[in-house]
Amino acid sequence: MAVAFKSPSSPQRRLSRSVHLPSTQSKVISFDQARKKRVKTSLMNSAPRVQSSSPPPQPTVVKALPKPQRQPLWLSSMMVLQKVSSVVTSVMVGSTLTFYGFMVYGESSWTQEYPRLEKLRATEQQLQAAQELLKNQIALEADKPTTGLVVPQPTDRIYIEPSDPRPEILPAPTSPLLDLQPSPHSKADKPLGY
Amino acid sequence: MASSDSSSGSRSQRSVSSPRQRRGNKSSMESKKATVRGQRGKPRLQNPILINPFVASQKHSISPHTQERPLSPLVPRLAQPNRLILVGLVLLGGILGLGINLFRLQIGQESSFLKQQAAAQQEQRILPFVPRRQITDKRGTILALDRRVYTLYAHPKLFKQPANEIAEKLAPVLLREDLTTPNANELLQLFGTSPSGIKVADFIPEEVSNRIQNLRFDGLELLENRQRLYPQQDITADVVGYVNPEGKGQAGIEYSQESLLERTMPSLSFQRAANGAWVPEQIATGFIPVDDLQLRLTIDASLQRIARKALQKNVEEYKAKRGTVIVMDATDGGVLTLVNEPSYNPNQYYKFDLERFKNWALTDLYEPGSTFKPINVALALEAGVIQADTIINDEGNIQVGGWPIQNADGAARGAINITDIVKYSSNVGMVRIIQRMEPDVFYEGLKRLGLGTTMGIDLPFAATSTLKTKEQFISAPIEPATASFGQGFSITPIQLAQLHSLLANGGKLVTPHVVQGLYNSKGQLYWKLPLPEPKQVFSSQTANSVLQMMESVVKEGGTGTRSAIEGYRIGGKTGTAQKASPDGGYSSNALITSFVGILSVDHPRYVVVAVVDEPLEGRAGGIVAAPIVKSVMEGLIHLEKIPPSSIPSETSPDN
Repeated sequence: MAVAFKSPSSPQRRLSRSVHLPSTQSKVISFDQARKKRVKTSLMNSAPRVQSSSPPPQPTVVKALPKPQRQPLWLSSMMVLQKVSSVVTSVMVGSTLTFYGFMVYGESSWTQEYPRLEKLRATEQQLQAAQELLKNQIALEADKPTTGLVVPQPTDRIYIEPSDPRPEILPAPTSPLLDLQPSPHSKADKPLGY
Repeated sequence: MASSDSSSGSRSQRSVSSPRQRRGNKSSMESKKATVRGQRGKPRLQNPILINPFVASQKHSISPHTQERPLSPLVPRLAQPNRLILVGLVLLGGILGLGINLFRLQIGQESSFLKQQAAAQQEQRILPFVPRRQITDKRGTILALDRRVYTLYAHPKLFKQPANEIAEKLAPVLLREDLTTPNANELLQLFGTSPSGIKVADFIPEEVSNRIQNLRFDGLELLENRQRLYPQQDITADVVGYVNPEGKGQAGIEYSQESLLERTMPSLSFQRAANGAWVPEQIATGFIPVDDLQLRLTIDASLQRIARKALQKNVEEYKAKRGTVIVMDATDGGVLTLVNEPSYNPNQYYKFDLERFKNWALTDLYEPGSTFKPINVALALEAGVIQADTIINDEGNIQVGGWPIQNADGAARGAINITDIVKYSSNVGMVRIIQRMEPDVFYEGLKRLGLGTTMGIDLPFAATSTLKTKEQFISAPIEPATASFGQGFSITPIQLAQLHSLLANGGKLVTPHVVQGLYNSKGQLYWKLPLPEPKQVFSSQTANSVLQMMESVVKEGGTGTRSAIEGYRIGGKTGTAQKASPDGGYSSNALITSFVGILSVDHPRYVVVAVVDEPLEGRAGGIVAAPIVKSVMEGLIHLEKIPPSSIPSETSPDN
């Protein structure tokens, strides 16, 4: 918090210039006054209370800025609170707007999609009905003697008797896959990486 | 407040447009300005004359200073107060009136009416089309489905085009329920009958309704309805049933499984958005929960078709009153086929006699006759009073308790074994077997089979079989004697199938059912019909030995040779029973013929029952019913790919 406070004297000075008041503010000042002023400013450095009654400083005098004050705890904590709350508020506003936007979008797209769903359902049911009615029609047509179709008889079927299960082929006794004590030859056969 | 402002405005306007004022010189204009200023600055009553432009215009000489000094004209002072009070009252009245109206609209009774009107404009509740669940057979063939249909109404007073033009364009598009299209004159005549609300056609399918909508005629209204469509027509009517126009099941599965078929859905609520589109209030809960479940039955529509054809043919050929065919899977009691003849088309149920809507295979009791003999043999075997090879003396004609009992053919076969008793369907032989049992043991055996109780089938209106009381049964020796060959008690055809399943599945009493469960569109099971654990009634040895005996019936010399299929070992039993007449005793010529077949003896699984009621020709189960069972079994072999018991010789390799 580097806040530079203008000394209270400067506006007064500007004001005096514009109004052309007679005065003490002229660049020409007595040596006495200047010295007094210098003493005053040094005093002011040690104790930063500016007395309003004191005569305005001279522009030629380099004024030391007042030492930045240590802010009280309540003020700094309030400022932190303000920052945090403004961030929280902006996040909340943003999320609310987004949520609301999605809700409105959802509703409007629902309105568009629902009739489509209904139409699809209706089509599905129409197709099912048509398919089943056709099935029945085909069955009725097939029953007519003119079609030349006959009811399948058991004698028309060909049955293949299942053959006996194949004798179980015992795997030939092989050497164990994992050689626990590998010979130097087997080592050479195997890639090292595995 | 608005009204008072505007009224004052109009007054000042009048003063501007006054002709005299226009004619007046500059000073009068100034005086007017002053007047206005004066009116604002000072209380009205102090300077009333200046308000009136006529007065001001008359006094041309009034200088700009006039306003400064108080006036005292005498004549206007008398007239003005009344006028002011009047104007004030009118304004006050207006304010009061508006205030009251505002109160009435916003707070008073009218407010609810306004709310309603706003809601009517901005909100809409619709009940989405929620179809009743489909019913499919075991292979997925749809037996019943809901579809949208429309009713067309005409309101001639709303017609924008001439009625004859509408009639001409509508006539070729419109398709009536009986697949006819009306001609234009007919429609024009119809339009002339009433200014509004004329029903033009019912049950218009969706494609036709779309075409009517595309004509874009005002004054035609299409109202959505739903209709249950049975694509297989009469093939499965006896099982599936039908629904009435209100969508309530009236017969079959549609009636008994109403809770599984009905689907409910909350109505959707919509609000009109700024752009005029309808937006649902709750998207998430609105339209999603329409499940795709179907009710799957154990019925096989193809077999059903074969069975109906075979039954129809024989019922016609032997001039029978009616007939039924049942195919049951003995392992779990699932009914593959249930066909009645005559039947009805559920799409046009209203054209048929009420009698046809009852499924008589379940609702009508009959005395099973000889088809029950294998069950009695099993009871005797189970009781240990006979063995499979016991020899019984068949005298051909006996007297029991004073009543004569004889074989159907009257022949006395002498000493024969149990197999032959079954083969020749010997009544006397059966009486002799049952006489070896204590009557109460026999009675308890019959009770254990479920006689005299309900069966628990999932089809509606199943009748309870009848059995005499124990006292009656035990006291008269004729009772067990007649029961031995299947008379004196009544069961339904479906129960006969259930009892024969005992022999096919090793003695377990299964519950007949037609519902498999609810499946989704991917064919995954969602809900299964809970079935009670089958009760073991016979031992499997008993069931098997009776099955072997039944095979002899179909073989050469037996009564059921017409059901033999080459290569397959089939068990069977014929039945030809006298019908009980309504006035007591037995009817002299009314017969009920039946045949029970079991496929196959080596791998028993399917029980096929055919019952033909009152055939005028044939008059024997072996003649009338056995061929039906044969045709059905042939279809079953084909559909279920049942391998033969032995490969027929001509197909076996010779070399």
